[in-house]
Amino acid sequence: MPGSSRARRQWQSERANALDQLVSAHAALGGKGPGRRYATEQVVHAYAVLLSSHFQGFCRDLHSEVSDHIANATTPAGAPELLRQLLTANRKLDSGNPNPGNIGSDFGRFGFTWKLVEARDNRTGERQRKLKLLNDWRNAIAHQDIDPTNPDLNLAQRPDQKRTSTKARRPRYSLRIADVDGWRIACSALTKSFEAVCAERVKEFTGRAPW
Amino acid sequence: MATTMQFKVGDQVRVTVAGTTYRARLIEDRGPIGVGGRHLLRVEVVDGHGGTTRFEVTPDQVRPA
Repeated sequence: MPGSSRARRQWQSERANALDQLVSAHAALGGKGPGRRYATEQVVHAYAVLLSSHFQGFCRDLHSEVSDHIANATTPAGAPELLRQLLTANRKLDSGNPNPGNIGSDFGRFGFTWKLVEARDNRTGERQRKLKLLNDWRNAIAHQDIDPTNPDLNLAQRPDQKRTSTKARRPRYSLRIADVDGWRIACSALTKSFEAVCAERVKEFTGRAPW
Repeated sequence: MATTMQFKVGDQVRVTVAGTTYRARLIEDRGPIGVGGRHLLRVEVVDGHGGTTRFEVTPDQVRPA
């Protein structure tokens, strides 16, 4: 796919395939009753953790790619190595979740801001909220701490939908595959926006479009 | 294009950054994600106080320890 970063091409191929396998596994689970419900729940939890992991991988790859483009265009001799070191040293995304804070911190090294992403697409705020919810659930699953009183995990919070009633929604703490599918759509949209903002930043620094 | 084949993750290496050479450990092959498809490597350098810094380098910056 010309005109696209390697990170995004990988997101749309290998990473998408890996995630699709869990969707297929979920669809393949037959039967009814509590046994099936438990099995599907485990697959949905795995799907959420894997989505967070692959989105983190995308972010790291894009960050490395952008850092190398900026460093590579730098002179004099020795400057590219130094700049590459400074841009990639001790990134939060190397060990931390791809939450909005960590993304803003690492990508901010080359002038990326969430405001720039928002300026490209006014749905960014809602996608950021979904990304935070995905990572809150990722942590809860990984640490076996799905606390039904934790408001951060409440899946019924849907500020993107217009309320038709003044009644508060009942909280929901049971993760469904449709929830993760929705997060995946948000992550995919963010990969496109991140790539576009990063391309602008590289062009600003180097005078050339990176891909 | 340099390759990473002469090193493997876990190897002790020497890394040169802007004329200064550091002892480092290769901690990750990031794959062909650099400019023109070159591999990027992630290394860990231990400073004199026991702290560590992790960053990315190109294969031509790396030598055997």
